Amino acid sequence: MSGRKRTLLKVIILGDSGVGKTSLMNQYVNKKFSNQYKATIGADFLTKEVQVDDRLVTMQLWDTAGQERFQSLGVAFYRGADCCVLVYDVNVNKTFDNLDNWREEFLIQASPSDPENFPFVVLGNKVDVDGGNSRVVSEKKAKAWSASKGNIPYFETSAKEDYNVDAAFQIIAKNALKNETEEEIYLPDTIDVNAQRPQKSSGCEC
Amino acid sequence: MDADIDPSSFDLVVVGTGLPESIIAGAAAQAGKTVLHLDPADNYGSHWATLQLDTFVEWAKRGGATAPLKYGSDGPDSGTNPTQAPTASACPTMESELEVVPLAASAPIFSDFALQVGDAATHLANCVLPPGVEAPKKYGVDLAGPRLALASGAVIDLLIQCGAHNYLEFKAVEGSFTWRNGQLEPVPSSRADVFKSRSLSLVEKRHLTKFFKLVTESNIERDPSDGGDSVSEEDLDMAFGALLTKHNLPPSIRQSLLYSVALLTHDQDSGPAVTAREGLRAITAYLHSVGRFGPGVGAFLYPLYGSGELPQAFCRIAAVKGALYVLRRGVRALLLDKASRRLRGVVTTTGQSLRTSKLVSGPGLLESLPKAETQAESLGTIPLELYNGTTTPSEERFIARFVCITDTPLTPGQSNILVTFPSGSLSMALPAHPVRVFQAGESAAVAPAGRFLVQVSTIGSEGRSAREDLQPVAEALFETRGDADEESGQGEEASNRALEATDEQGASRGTREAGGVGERIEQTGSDTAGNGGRPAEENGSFSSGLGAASPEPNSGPTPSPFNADVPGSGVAAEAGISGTDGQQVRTVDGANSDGAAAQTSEFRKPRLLWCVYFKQRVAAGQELAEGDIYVCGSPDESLTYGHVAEEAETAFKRLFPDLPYYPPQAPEPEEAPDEDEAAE
Repeated sequence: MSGRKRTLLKVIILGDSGVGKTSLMNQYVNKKFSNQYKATIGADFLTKEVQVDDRLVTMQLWDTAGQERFQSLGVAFYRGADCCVLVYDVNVNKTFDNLDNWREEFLIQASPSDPENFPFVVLGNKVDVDGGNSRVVSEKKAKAWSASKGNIPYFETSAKEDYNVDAAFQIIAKNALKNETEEEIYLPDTIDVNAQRPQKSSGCEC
Repeated sequence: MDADIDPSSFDLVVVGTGLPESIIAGAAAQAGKTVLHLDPADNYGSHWATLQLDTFVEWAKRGGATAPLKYGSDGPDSGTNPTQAPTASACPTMESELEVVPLAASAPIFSDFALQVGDAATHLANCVLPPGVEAPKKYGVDLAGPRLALASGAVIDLLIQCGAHNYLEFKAVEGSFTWRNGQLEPVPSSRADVFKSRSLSLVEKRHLTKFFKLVTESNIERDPSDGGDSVSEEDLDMAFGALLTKHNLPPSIRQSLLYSVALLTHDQDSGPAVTAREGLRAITAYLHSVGRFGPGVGAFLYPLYGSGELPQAFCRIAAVKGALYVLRRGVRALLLDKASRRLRGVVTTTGQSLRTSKLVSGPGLLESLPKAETQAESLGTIPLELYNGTTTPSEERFIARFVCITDTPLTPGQSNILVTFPSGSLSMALPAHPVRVFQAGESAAVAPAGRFLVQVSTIGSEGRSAREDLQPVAEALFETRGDADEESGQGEEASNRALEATDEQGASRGTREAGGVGERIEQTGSDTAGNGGRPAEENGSFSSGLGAASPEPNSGPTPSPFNADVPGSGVAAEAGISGTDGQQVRTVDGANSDGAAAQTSEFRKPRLLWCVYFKQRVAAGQELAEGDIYVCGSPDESLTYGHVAEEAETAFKRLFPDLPYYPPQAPEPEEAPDEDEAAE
């Protein structure tokens, strides 16, 4: 309606602690992976410029900053998200079972205007572990769940091996952009107290 | 999940996620301290929260208390039996040297809830949202409202300094008005405003212009011995109100300056008066805020989605710096060293003992356990006051608050506005002190389209309910009886169009991308880099704005006092879409009241759909237990965040005298620091 081009997309990455949310972000944006697990400290958000069809958009990937550990993400985290990425660990059943809770939590807190069609993407991470032998959640099961929740795109990834990460985030960007054009009517004019957003492109470098 | 917190030792435990607590948590985490941040509620913000309307109603029904915590409901994880009195046995090594001190329940912070739906007073227990108030999740009610940030105020500076501004978006408050003789008069806040004003005589304009010049030139922050100070020492010590009278400012302007510009919270004609020094400082702060974030933007900013976003931004800063966050969990007891009486730890509401030597809490939160819980304690409870409080609680005072929903804006075409009632501006004696009214709508994301959320507060009078204090204000501003249907129908239409207009104006996200505020701030010093095509001097401080003849790109041939003052339209015009917006706003005026809205005398009362009155006790911040514990103050009567920022900084420096408080951020190292031992 306004014809305004909003080129900043907010993407939030949800899932249980330890499923590899920060690693996926880091692999995608910085092409880096650390084998040593640390509960997230120092991760804020990373930004990356992405070409989607003929548009160049800036994708802002928001880390949970560890606040997911005790289910203590505040509503502000969820606000205005253009896409929600749900991550689980294919080697841990419980992380898959909790996807339902994370999705519900997102829909309640972010209360998107069209919850039925809000873009989610599901990532089954850590497919590399033990050559796939320790895997407990089958691709079939995960795909069935994703399909049952309104045909959520599903990807199997390995942040460590950089497997499928780019492909997944390309879809994330594409779907976020699709959502954004539908919702842009109500984006109000805000004062920009925001000095550093453009310079943040290298993110938190950690 | 009531999983135990791991690790079990922290440099600082913070209970409650109100604004001062959150600022302190962020500062400590940024300074490298290990921080655990708890909140018994399942949302952020404590007394500073913004609640959706349905949540707010539930909260009001509970009398403003946190929802009772459920103990041990989550199976094997919960571990401890909560009905047992907490002991130090969870940490055997602590047992011998530590005394467990259960916390006593404190007097509630909130009280005196009264509900009105349409023209009928109703019991809260029967609260049903009336027709016209649908979509409760689209409302955001500030518990500490009305609360606005001064653009050049401490909290905005702090947000920028620590990077928390990245998590927030702000709306400019579009207009500020003073109530006078049943009308809303625009608050003059720049020389241009003074020129435009239709309610001032030429002589009055001259006196006011002179006064503004005096304020900007006297520069109250400078050492008075430097010279150039045109207010004498003697005058600086006199009452501010008397100084204004001395400078020939007529009573109406004097009221406006005292309460709408200097933002004083107490009646200046009875009781203790503010000195001219303080008053001038407050006016300077206001004038510096006008235009800080672009030409046409007024002094006040309001966060999109409500003021409850602020504490969350500081909490995220803390989390990013490693603080651990656990909602739905509080503290039920303290662990004190038997010999020294110093703080050694806390017992959480799940019964877990944690080591810490510093504790910060929101008001009433340490003690917020449900009554039954505290009574079950076999150990005697000790009220916190018994500890060596270094500050004695000041005399008790209350704030009367009022939240309501209307379907028409107070001023045509404006969604987010501030109205100040100077003391004595209503014919009846009450309320005794100035009253603040903040209306916000869909554009601030705190109300659905076509609805407006209005929040009102004043210092409560002794022995009176919030309703008794604020009903005169409600009746002055709103149609409280149900005979306004026809008007409000029109009003709704008008407001929708008004919102469309706002939206068109808002079409300038380009402005946002073109020039960040930070750049603008730097620019006030440098004048070099491009800034969305705006001349740099326009981004300067108030004085430069005054010096240059302020451009009025959208003043049509017959600007109404309202739309000419809409900063939004100024911004839109700057962004190159002038021509349409002024017209649209005028159309709205016409639709609303036969074109007569151009006169201030045509104030039309919006219809009151629903409202709640309540009282909030003002609790001062307190240092306890040899300074190991700091209990933050509750939201106070001020409109802005100045006191909170000050309180948080002072408390932090008392708790951690050797640590820097939000130092400027150095670029982060390439590799994550190795001090994190939370690996699992």
